[in-house]
Amino acid sequence: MVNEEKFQIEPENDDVHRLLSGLKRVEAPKDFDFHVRARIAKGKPAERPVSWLPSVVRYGVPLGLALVVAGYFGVVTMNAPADSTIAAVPQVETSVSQPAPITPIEESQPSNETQAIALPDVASADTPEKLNPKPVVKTAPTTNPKTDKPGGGSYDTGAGAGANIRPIGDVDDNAPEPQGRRILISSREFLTNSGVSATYPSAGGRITSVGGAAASAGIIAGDVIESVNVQSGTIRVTRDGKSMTFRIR
Amino acid sequence: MAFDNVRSQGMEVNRVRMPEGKLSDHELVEATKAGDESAFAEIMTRYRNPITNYLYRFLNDYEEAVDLAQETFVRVYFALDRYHTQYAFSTYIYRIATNLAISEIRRRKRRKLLSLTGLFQGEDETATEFQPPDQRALPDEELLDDEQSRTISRAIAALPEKYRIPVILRDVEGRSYDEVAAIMELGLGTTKSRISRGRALLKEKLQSYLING
Repeated sequence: MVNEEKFQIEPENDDVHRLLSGLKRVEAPKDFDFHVRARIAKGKPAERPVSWLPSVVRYGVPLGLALVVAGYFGVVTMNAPADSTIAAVPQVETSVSQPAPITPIEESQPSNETQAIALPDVASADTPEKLNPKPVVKTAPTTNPKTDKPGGGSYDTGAGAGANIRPIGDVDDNAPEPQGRRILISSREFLTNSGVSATYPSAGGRITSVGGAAASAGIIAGDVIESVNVQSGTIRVTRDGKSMTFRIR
Repeated sequence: MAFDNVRSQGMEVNRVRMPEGKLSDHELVEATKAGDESAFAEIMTRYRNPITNYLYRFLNDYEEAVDLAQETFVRVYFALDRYHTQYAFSTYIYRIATNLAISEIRRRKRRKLLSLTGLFQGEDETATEFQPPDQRALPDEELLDDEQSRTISRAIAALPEKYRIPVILRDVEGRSYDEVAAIMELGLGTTKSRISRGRALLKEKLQSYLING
C-alpha cells in the first residue's frame, strides 16, 4: 500500500492508456442471449467447485474430527467420578425457591448415600424438563423435493420451473427468491439453436436436417422427435423404432 | 465484500438523462422484475459486448470469457430482487463479472498447480502471478495475426489482479475512476495509484511498442 501511494497519478494521455484504449474489442457470439436464457430457464447457475479437494476429503475430514472430539468428551463424561458434583450443590440450592415436583431417579436409587443427598438438590436446581426431557420429535419437511421440483417432462410442463434457484457468490443467498419472473425457451427456439430443422418442432416432428450441436450430439436427419426437454438440454428421438436421448451441449 | 456496502460515487444511472424513448438501466431492471422478458434482453444487448471484452482482457481466453459473461447475466437475473437502484447498474454487473473472473483464475491455479512468482518482482514485493496464455483459436483471426495485440494481451493477463482489474476497467473499458473504485470497493486515491502502478508495469513490458507507436 505504501508503494502504491508513492506513485504519482499520471495524466490520461499516458502512452499505456493510449495503447490499451486502442486494442481491438472482442464481441459476444451471436447465440449469446440464447445461452443466457437457456441457463436461466434451466434455473441452475453453473456452480464452480469451491475447492479442488475431493468432496470425500472436504466433508469427511471435518466430520471425522467432530466425531473424535465428541467421542473424547463422551469418554471423559462416562469416566467422571460419581460424586464430582457435590461441591456445586450448596450453591445451586440457595438460588432455587421451589423443588422440582418429580424426582423419580433419586427415589429409585437410594443405595448410594452421596447420591441420595445430592441428587434431589441438583434436581431442584434444574427444571423438571431437564430431568425428564421430552423426546425430540423431528418433523419431516413439508415439502417434497421430488414433487416440488420440476420433473423430467417435456418443455411444456417443466421449462423455467427451476428458475428460482439463486446464484452463489456475490449475492446474498438469504434474500427472497425472485418471483413473477420466468424466462422461457420454446422447444422451437431450442431446436433451432441446436441446429435441428424438423417438419414440426415438437413431438411427432421428423427431423429434416441437422447441424451444429445437435449433429455433434449424434442426431441425424430422419429421426422423429419424441420430446424436447429444455431444462436438461435433451432431445429424445425415435430412430428405427428405438427411442434414443441426446444431450445437446 | 458484499456489493451492497459499496456506493457508486456520483454516477447513478437513474440520474443520467437517457435519449428520448430509451429506458435507463434502472428502468429496464424494474421492468425485468415485473416480468418483462424483453427488458432483460435489452440489458443483455447493452452489456454483453462490454462484459465479454472485459472478461476476455482479464482472462485472455475468449471461450472462458464468453462462458463467464453468460454466467454473469444469469447471476444478475437471479439477483435482481436484491439489486438496489441507488447503485449504478454498470457497477453492479462489472462487480459480478470481476468476482467470477477472480474465482476462475483461482480455480485455474488450483487446477494446473502452476504458480510462478517473480514475473514482476522488483521494487514491489507484492505477490504476483503468471497466467499462461491461452493457445486456443480466437473467433477473430485478425487478433491471432496481430502480434502487438497478443503481446499486449499477454502483458495485461500477467499483471497481478490488483493492478489488472483497474487498468482494464479504466484503459480498456473506459470506465470512470469513480466507477472503477466502486467496482473494486476501494478508495479513489488507492484506485488511481493502482492504475498508475499497473500502467508502469505494463510500460516496462511494452516499451518497444510505446517507442515505435
